[in-house]
Amino acid sequence: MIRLKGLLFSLLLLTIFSCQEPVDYSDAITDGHYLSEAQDRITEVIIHDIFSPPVAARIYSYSSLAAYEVAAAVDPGYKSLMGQLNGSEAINIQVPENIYPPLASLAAYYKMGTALIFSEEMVQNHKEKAFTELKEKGIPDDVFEASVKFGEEIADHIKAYSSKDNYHQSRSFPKYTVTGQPGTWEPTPPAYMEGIEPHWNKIRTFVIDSAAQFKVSPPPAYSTDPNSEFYQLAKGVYDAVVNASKEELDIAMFWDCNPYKMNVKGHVMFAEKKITPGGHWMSIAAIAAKTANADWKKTAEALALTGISLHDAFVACWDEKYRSKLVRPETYINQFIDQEWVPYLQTPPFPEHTSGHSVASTSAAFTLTQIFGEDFHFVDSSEVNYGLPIREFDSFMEASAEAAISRFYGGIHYMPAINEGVWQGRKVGELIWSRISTKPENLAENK
Amino acid sequence: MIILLSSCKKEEAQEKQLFKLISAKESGIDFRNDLTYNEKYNPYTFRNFYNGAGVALGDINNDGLLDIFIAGNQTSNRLYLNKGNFKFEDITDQAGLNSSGVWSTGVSMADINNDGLLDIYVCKSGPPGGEKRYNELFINQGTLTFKEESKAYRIAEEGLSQHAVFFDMDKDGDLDMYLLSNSGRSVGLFDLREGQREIRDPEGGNKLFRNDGAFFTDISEAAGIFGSSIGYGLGVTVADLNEDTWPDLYVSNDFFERDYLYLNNQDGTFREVLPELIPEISMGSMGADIADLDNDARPDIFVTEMLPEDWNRVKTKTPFEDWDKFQANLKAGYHRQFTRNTLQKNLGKNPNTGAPMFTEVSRMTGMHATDWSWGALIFDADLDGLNDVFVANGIVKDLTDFDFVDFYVNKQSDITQFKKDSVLITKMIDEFPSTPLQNYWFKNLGNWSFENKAMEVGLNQLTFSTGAAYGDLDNDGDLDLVVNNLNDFLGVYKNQSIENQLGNYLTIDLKNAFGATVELHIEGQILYKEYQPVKGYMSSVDPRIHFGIGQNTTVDSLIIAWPDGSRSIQKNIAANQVINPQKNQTQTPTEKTSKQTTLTLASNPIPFRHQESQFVDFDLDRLRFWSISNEGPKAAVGDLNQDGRDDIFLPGAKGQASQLFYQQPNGSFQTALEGLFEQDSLSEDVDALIFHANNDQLPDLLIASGGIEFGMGNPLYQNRLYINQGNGKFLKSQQLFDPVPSSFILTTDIDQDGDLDLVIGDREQPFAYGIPTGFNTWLNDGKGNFTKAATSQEFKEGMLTSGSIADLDGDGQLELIIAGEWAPIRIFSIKSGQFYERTEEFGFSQTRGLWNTLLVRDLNGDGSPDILAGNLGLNTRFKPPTGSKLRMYVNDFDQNGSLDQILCFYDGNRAMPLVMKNTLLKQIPSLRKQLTTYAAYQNKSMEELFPAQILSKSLNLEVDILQTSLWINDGNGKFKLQELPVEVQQAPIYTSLFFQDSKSNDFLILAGNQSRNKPEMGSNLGSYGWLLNHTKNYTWKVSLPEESGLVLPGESRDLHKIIINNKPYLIAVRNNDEPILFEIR
Repeated sequence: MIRLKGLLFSLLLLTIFSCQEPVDYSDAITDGHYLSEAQDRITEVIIHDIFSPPVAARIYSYSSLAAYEVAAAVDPGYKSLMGQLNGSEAINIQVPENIYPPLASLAAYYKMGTALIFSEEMVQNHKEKAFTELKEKGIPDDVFEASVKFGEEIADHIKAYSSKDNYHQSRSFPKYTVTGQPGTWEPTPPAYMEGIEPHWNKIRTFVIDSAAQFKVSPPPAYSTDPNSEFYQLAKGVYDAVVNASKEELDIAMFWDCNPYKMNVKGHVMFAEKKITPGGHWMSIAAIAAKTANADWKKTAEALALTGISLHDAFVACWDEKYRSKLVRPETYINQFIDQEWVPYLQTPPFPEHTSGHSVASTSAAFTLTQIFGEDFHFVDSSEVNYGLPIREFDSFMEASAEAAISRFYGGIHYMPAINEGVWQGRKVGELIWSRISTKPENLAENK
Repeated sequence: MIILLSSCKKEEAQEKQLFKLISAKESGIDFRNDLTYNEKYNPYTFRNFYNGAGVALGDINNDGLLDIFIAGNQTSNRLYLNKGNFKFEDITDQAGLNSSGVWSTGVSMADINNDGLLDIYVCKSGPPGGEKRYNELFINQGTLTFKEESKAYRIAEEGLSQHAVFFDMDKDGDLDMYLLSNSGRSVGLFDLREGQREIRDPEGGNKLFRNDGAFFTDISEAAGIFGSSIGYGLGVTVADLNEDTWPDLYVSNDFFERDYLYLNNQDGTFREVLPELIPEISMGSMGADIADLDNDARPDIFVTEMLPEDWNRVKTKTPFEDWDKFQANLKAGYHRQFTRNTLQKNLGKNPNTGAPMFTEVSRMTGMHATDWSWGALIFDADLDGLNDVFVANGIVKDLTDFDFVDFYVNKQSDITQFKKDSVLITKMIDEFPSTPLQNYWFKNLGNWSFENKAMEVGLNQLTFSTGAAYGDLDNDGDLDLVVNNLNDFLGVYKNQSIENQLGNYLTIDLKNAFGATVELHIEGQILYKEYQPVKGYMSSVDPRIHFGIGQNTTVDSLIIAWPDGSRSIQKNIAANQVINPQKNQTQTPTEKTSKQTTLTLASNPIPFRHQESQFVDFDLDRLRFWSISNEGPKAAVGDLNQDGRDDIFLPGAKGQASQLFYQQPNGSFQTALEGLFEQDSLSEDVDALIFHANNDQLPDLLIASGGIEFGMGNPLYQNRLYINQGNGKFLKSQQLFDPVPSSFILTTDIDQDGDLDLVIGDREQPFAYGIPTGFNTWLNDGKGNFTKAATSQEFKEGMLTSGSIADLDGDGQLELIIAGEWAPIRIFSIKSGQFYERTEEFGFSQTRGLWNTLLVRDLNGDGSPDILAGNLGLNTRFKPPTGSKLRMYVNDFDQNGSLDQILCFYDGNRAMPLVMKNTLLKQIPSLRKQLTTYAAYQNKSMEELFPAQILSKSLNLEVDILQTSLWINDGNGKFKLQELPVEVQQAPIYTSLFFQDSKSNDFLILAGNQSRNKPEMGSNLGSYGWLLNHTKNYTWKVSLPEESGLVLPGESRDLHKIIINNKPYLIAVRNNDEPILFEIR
C-alpha cells in the first residue's frame, strides 16, 4: 500500500515536470565545486575508515583519475592518461550524445571512490544529495541517467585497471618482523602499532619505472656513540623539540596530518583523526583550482595529476622506508639521550627514512606548480575542519618546503630524511611531468 | 492469588539460597558510594576514578559483634556499629570519622598500638590539596571514639594511596605496614623503558614502614621494596609463600608494570623474585587473594583482571597486546603479562632452590574471565571444607569500548564546540556505555574444578562492585559478605549455610597473632589457613579464622604455628564453636625428613644451546594463534662411534648447525664433525634417527628437516642421510628426500626384505597452514638407497606431528600409529609392504586433536602396547563451551591467493570466530564493508560473514579432544580411555618418556609448554614437566617436584634416557635453551 502511494506520487511528479518547459541546465556544473565536495566526502571516509597515508593516496589517485578520464573523453583539449600510465590501456568507450559531461565526471568519481573505501553509505548519502540538487537544476531524466551510466562505465574501466596493481594480493603479505637488531625500526608509543604497509613497494606505480627508481642516499651509519653523526642527528631532533619556537610548533601541528593519533590515559583511550598528507595536498589542489577559477575539467586534471604524483611518491618513499628500516628518533632518544623525551607530534607507525610528508608534498607541489604556475598565492584552509588555523603561501614549493621541515620540528624525523625526501619527491614529480601529458601536445615540450 | 503464591515461593527460594541480600532498610546501612564526574574531575583526568573503595570488618567495641567500616570516594566514610541480627547503627560522626570532601580508598583494621582495641587506617587518593588529604590513622579510644594520630605515628602519607596491609614482617610482635600506592604518572608513553622499577618516586611509590612502637619508620629502600613511579599498585596480599613461616608479599600492579612477589629474607628485608617463580601473570592486575584452594596446605594466588567471559564483550571492549609489543615488554623486563585473571597453583618447593613453584591454571578452571574485576576473596562460603572464590566486578563506564575509541572523534564539529564550552570530557564520558555486571562466585568442586554459581547462590544483582570483605556478622558460624558498590547501596549478604544445614564449622580467634597458621586435620584431610585479616581489595576481613568442615562433627587435631615459631596442638575438638587457643601444649616442629628424590638435577656436560630463529609465525599468518615453527629439537641418543658410550646428536634450528657430541671416557661430551653439519646450518633440523641404513653393522644417522620458514619445494626442507664410515666418521649420502618439512621419521622393515625402510611424516605445506599432510614410505635397497613407494592413503584432515610403530593386537604384524595437529589418531596395519587402515576397528574414531606427540608402549604392565598422546591440554581460552567444538575454517576467503585460517567455536549450527575484528580485517579487508563497527562484528557467525557458496568451499578442521590422553590396550586390539591426573592438562605435552629407576619402579614423564602463542591466547607455560608413578592398579599419579626432583622450566621438546659414565640420566631437550640433565635414582 505504501509502495503504491509512492508510485502514484512519482507519477504525479512526472506529470507536473513533463508539463514544464525544458530548462537550460548547462550551468548546473561549471567549476570544480561538486567534484571538490565529493573529494571532501572521500576524505572524511578515509579518516573514518582509518586508511593509512599510502593507501589514502591510492584512493585519491584512482578516484580523481576516473573523473578526469571523462573530461578527456569529451574534450579534445585534454588527452586521456589511460595508455600513458603503467599497465593501463586506452579507453574505447563511445561517448553518448545526450550526456551532461560534468555530471558524468562526478558520477565516475563517486563510483571509483566508493569502490575503494569501506563506509560506503557515508559517500552514498552525500552523492544522493548532490544528485538530487542537480536534478532540481533541470537535467532531464534521460540525460541524467545516460550521464551517470557513462561516468560509471569510465569508472569501471579505471576500477579494472586499479584491481591489477597488486593491492588486493598485498593484504596478505607478511607483516613487518621486528628483529630487535640495533638501529632497526620498532613500534613506537603509545599504541605500538605494527609497521604500516611493509610491502607497499610491490604496488604498481603510475609513472615511475619502479619503486626503487629514485633511490636516496641511505641514512648515516647507526651508532650510539655520542660523537657519531647519527647520535648528533638524533640530538638535533631532540634539541629542535626542546627549543622549538611557537611558530615552529604551529608549523609542525599544521602539517601533522596524522590519520590516527591515539590518546591513552589509563584505561581510557581515544583516537584523534586528521587528514593524511595526501588528503592535505588533494585539498590544496582543489583550493588552487578554485583560486584559479578553473572549470570542472581543469579541476579534474589538477586532482588526477596531484593524485598520481602523490601515489608514486608514497611508493618510492615506502620502498626506502622498508629498505633502511631506520629506527625513529623517539626510540633512539629515549634509549640514549633522554628517557622522558616525547616528540611534539606522535610518531607514525613506520620506519623513518625518508620522510613521507617530504616526498609526497614535494612531488605534489611540483606537479601543482606545473599546472598553476610558480608564483601562486593561496590560502590553505585544509585543516580548518580539524581545529587548525589557515596558513597562506606564495607558492606550492613554499608550502611543500614547510611541510617537509615540519617533521623535524615535530620530532619525528632526522634531517637527512627530510633533505633526501625532498630530493626524492622532486625526482618523482619531474619524471611524471616529463612522461605523461594531459594535453594533446606535450606541455613540457612547449616550454 | 497467583502473585501471592509466587512471591511466597520467591521468598522460600531466597531462604534456601546461600546468600540473602539484606536491604538497606532492614540493616540500617544506607551507605552508597555515589560518583559524579565533571569536566575537572573524571576518569580521564583521574585514572582511578572508578576504582571504588574498601570495606573493613572488625569488632571495634569488643562486644563480640563485627562492625562495618566503609570507605567512600566522594562521600564520607561510615562506621556502622553491629547491634546484632543484621541491624546496624551509623556512629560515624560521633566516632570522629567523618571524612567528607576527601577521597578515601583502602581501609585497614588492626590493633596498631597493641592495646586490645582495633584501630583504623584509611588510605586517601583523588585530587591533591584540601583538608586531610593524607592517610589517616584512627586510634581507638575504647569509647566508641577515635583519635586521628597519623602524624604522630609518621604515616600521614599523601599521594595516591590504595591500601595498607598490616603484618608482622619481622616477628617482633608488633604490626608493620606495607603501603600500596598507585602512581600519579601517566600511562601510555613510558611503558617500554628499562630500569624504571629501580628509580624511587619522590612523590609517592610503594613503601614499607616498620613499627617502632611510638611511630613507624620508612624502611622501603633498605628493605628492598620497589617504590617507583611505574608502580600502579591495586592489590597487596600477605602470605607465607615459601613455607618458612615468614610473611611474604604479593603486589598486583595495573597496566604495563608487572606484579611483584617479595620473599621475606627474615632480617627485615625482602627479595623480589616474581619472574623467577611465576612464568605468566595478569596484565592489568587488580585485586588478589592468597589461600589454599586444594587442601594441600600450600597457599595459591588468585589475581583479578579485566577479561570478560562474554565473547561479545571481548570482541568490543578487550584490548590485547600484539605479538611485537608483547615481545618488547618481555625484553624490557616487564615479563609475560596477559589480559586475564591468573590463578597461580602452588606446587610446593623447588627441590633445587627451596623457592615455591607456581603454575598458572586460570584458563583450565574457567576463572580467567570475570570481566572488569576488583575484589577477590577466597573463603569457604558453603562450609564444605573447600575454599570458594568470590569476585567483585563492574566498571561504571566501559572505558575501553572500541567503537567509542574509534568513532567518537568522527564528530569533529561537536568536539570543537564541546572544547569551546569546556564540556568535552563530560560529554565524552556521558556517551560511554555503562553496563552493570553480576559478580562471580566460584564454587570449589575439588581437584581444581570450579563452577560459577553466582546466579544460583543469590549473588545475581547487577552492580559495579569493588572492595569486599567476608565475616560472620551474626556469629552463626558461616561467613557473610559485604560488598562496596559504586552508585548503589552497600551489598550486605547474609550467608544461610548454617540455616540450611550445609555443614559444620570451626572458628578460631587468634587476636593479634598476625602470621599464625592453622591446620585442621580431619580424617586424613588437611585444611590450612593463614591469619592475615587485612586482605581483599582495599579491605579487611573478619579477624577470626574460619573453617567449614563439611559434615564432620569433630576435628581430629588443630595445629597452630605461632608467629614466634612455636606450635600448639589441640585434639578432638567439637565442631561449631569459636575457640580462643592459647600458646600452651606447645611442641617444637618436627623437621621434615627429606626423602631422596627420583631425579636429581645434574650439571649438564653437553655444551649446546638450541637457538630458535627469529621467524614469527604470526607475521606470515596473521589469523593463527599459536606457533608451529618452534617444535624442535628432538635429539638422537646412541653409540655412534662404537666405543660403548652413549653419544648424542642435537638438531639446530634455522641458522644454527646441528651438533654431534661424542661421549668421552670421563663422561664429558666433545663436539665432532662440525664441518659436516655446518654446511647445512640453514636448514631447520627438528629430529634425528640412528638406524642401520646399510648392512655394514655401523649405525647411520638420518636428520629430519622441518620448520615452515622457507617457500614450498625449498631444498632446505630435505632430510639428510649420513653414512657411518667407522672410527666416528660420517659421510653425507647422495640420497635425496622430498623437499617437504618433516615432523617424524620412523624405521622398520616395511616390505619384509630384511632391511630397514623409512616412514616419514610431513608437518606442513609451507605457507599453507591447514592443508592436510601425510606420510611417505621410503624403501631401502639394502645398501642405504631409498626410493619413495607409491602411497594409497588418503589424508583429508590435519598435519602430522608424530608417529610410532608397534604390534597393537599381538598378531605379529606391525601397526603404524600417526597423530597430528587438527588430525585424528589413525592406525594402519602393515602387511607385505602395504598399509591397511584400522582406525575405527581399534576404537579411534572421533579422536581429532591438536596432538603433538605419541608414546606407544605398555603402560599397565600387561605386555600389550598402550597409547599415550600429548595434546594442547585444557588450560586454554580456546576450550569450547559444552556442546561446541573448536573448528578452523581454511579458505582463501577473499580470493587473493593466500589462505585464511579462522578459528571458531562451532555448535553445530553457527561458528563464532575467536579472532578479534582488527586482525580479521587486516587479513580480509573486504569484510570491512560489513563490519564498520565492533558491535557489528560481536555477534557475527561465519555463516553471516561469508556467503554460503564461499564458506562451503572451506576446509573445516575440528577437534574432538583437547586433553592429553591415555588409551589402554586390552590386549586384543581394543582400547579404552584412562583418565590422567588433572595436572597433565595444564600445558601442552610435546614429549613423553617411560623409564624405570634402579629399583625397577615405573615412571612416566610428560613435558612440553609453548611460549610462542599470541597474547590473547596466552602462553602455555603451565608445567615444569610431570613425573608420574602408578598405584598397584596402574592409576598414574603426579608426584610434585619436592618428591620427584623434576623441575623443567621452558619448552621441552624431547626426553631421553642416556647413560653417562655408567650412570643413568634423563636428558630433556628444550627449544631455544640448553638441555637439562637429571640423574635417575
